[in-house]
Order: sequence, then C-alpha cells, then structure tokens
Amino acid sequence: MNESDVRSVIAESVPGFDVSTLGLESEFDKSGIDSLDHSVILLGLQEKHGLVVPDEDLDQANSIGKILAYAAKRSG
Amino acid sequence: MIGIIDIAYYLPERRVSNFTRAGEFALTDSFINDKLGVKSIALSGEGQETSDLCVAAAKNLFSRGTVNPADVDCVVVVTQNPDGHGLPHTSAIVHAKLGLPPRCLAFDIGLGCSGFVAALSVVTAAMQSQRLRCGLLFTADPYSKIIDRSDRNTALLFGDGASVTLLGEDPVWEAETFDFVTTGDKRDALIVRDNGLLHMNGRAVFEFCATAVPESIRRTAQSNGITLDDIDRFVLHHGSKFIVDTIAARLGINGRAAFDATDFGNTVSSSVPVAFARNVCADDNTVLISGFGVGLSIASAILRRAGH
Repeated sequence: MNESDVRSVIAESVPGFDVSTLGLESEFDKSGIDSLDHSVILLGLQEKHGLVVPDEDLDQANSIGKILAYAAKRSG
Repeated sequence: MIGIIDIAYYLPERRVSNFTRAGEFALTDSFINDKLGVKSIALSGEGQETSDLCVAAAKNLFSRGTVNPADVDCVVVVTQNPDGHGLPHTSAIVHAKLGLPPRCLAFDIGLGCSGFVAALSVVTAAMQSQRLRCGLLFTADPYSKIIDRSDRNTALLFGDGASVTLLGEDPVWEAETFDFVTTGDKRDALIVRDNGLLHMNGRAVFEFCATAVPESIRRTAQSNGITLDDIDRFVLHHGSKFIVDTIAARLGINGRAAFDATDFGNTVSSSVPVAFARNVCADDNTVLISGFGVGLSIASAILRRAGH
C-alpha cells in the first residue's frame, strides 16, 4: 500500500473532501475530517488493503504518513 | 394469516435542541445536520414511565377506531428500559393501565434497535400458533433513563418515543421470511456499564452497520425471492443519518431509504415502526424493514401489502 492508495481511500470515503489539501503529516481531525469520516477511512483501508487498525492504535492512523508507517510496521 | 393492520406512535412533546449543546461537545452545525441528522431530541416528561409512553401510543391507535380494546388478547412490550426494575413486566403494567381483558398473553422482549423486527416474527408466530386474534406490539425504550448527558457519542443522538403495532387477521401488511444476525462477541460496543449509563463504541457500531446490515438486507431480499429493485421503500433503523446514508450508498438504494428522525432522534426499537408509520405511502407495496444495534444484532424482513 502506497501514498496514492491511501489518498484514493480517503477520496472515496469522504465525498467532497479535496484530498490534495492533505499533507503527509496533516492530522485528520485538524484538517476537516471528523471522527465518523475517520471510521469510514479505516473501514476502507481494511476492506481494500487488509489493514486492520484496532481502537487502541487509532492515534497511530490519523494522518496519511502515520497510516503508511503503521502499515509498514504491521507488514514488517 | 397474522400480520400488521395498523401502526401508531407517540413522541413526547418535550424537546432539547442539539444546536444549543453543540459548543459543549465541540461539534459544528454541519456535523449535526449532515452526520447526526438529529437537530433536537425528544425527552419523556417528568415522571413519565416507559408504560406511559406505550399507553400514549395506544391512545393514538384507539382513537382511529381500528381496534376495540376489549378484543385484545396479546400484549408485548419491546424494551430494555422497563418500568421500575423490570418486575413486574412492563407489558402487565400497560395491560392494567389500558384496562385490557384478563384472557390475554402479556410479556416483554428484551431487545434494542433490532427489537421491533425480531418481535414481529416472534409475536405473529405465537399468535398464529395459539390462534390469538388481536395483538398489540409495543416498542418503548426511553434511553433518557441511561444516557450520560456529558457523553458526546450518545447525548445528542437518542430520543424517547413509543410505538404500537396492531396485529391480527386480514392484515394490511404481511411478512414472510426474516433474517436474523447476532454477533455476541461485539456486545460490549453498546452496553450499560456498572454506573448505570450507556457506553457506545461508535466506530465498532458503525463498522457493524456498514458491513453486516447490507449483507442482511441482500439475504432478506434473496430469501423472499425478490431483488433490491423490487423494493419500493427501505425502512432502516434510524441509528443516525450517517449510518442510514452509508447503508443506502453501499446498497445503491439512495432515494428509497430516507432518514426521518430530525426532530426527535434515535428512538431505538421504536425507530422502524415510527419511520414506517410516517413514511410508507399508498404507492408502496413492498417494503424492507431492518433494525440493528444492541447485541450487536440485526433483524430484517420484507413486508408485502396484502393482495400484492
């Protein structure tokens, strides 16, 4: 899973949100993505890329960069 | 065949606006409008018990003249927030308050948001097998009894209300094959903890609704020998606007599954019958109903207008 994959999931999960405004380290909750949107993004990552983020790791998956790092850690 | 003859409901007049509390929870108006979909919640009056909500719904039903109270031989209340401590059962209290005849089966069913649909299966089957002729199926689960008013996950979502469904022969709506789901390993996602207050894991509930409910709905259509295109209207539990919209989008049924709890909130087991009574119209002949939540559980069914 690469950055483009994550951006694609975000775009599909949050209709109307301009994903190009998100930097790698932009935290979702400070960028107009609320907790419900975050849940949809995580579900999309799980369904499309098999990435499961348990509740206790939510803060490790609140930006594109953190998601990529988390996925790398889980696969490594 | 036993089926639905009529549905009536009652929503308490008292309201609390969510917009006045949005700042308290750092929520925007657009979140309330577009995600929760609930602008105000209905609250029971001071001292108004679960059975009182049922009685108010029954009075609305009786005022239509579709049933003679003296004919009622079955009373069921779906609730997880009964009168007092739950003993005696709330259905017996409702029975007394309505002055119903003594030759009558009365019992409670302890289910939440899936409760109306599941109870419809149980009660129609019991009436059919025991030749009961006139049933009143109530739903009333006033979550105001268990809501933590400082909890942003639940305080702006749930409202109080009640419904009553008249069941009997020569119905207007008939149900055939139901679909049931229970995932007990996820039961902690909606739970009343030792402090007596409701706790909800919003993410877990959302994921369950977004994945398991569409599957249940597809199975229900298939087991009843129809496709989703054959269904005129989908009456889904009004968990929140976001959940209804998500399920509708995943099934491709937008426009046939409206959210209609803006002025009173998620009324738990009452949401499906209330939405049914408010939205199903004369042109609707095939309606899918689906309740989902506490358990976590789902109950879905197809209702067909008699003669179609």
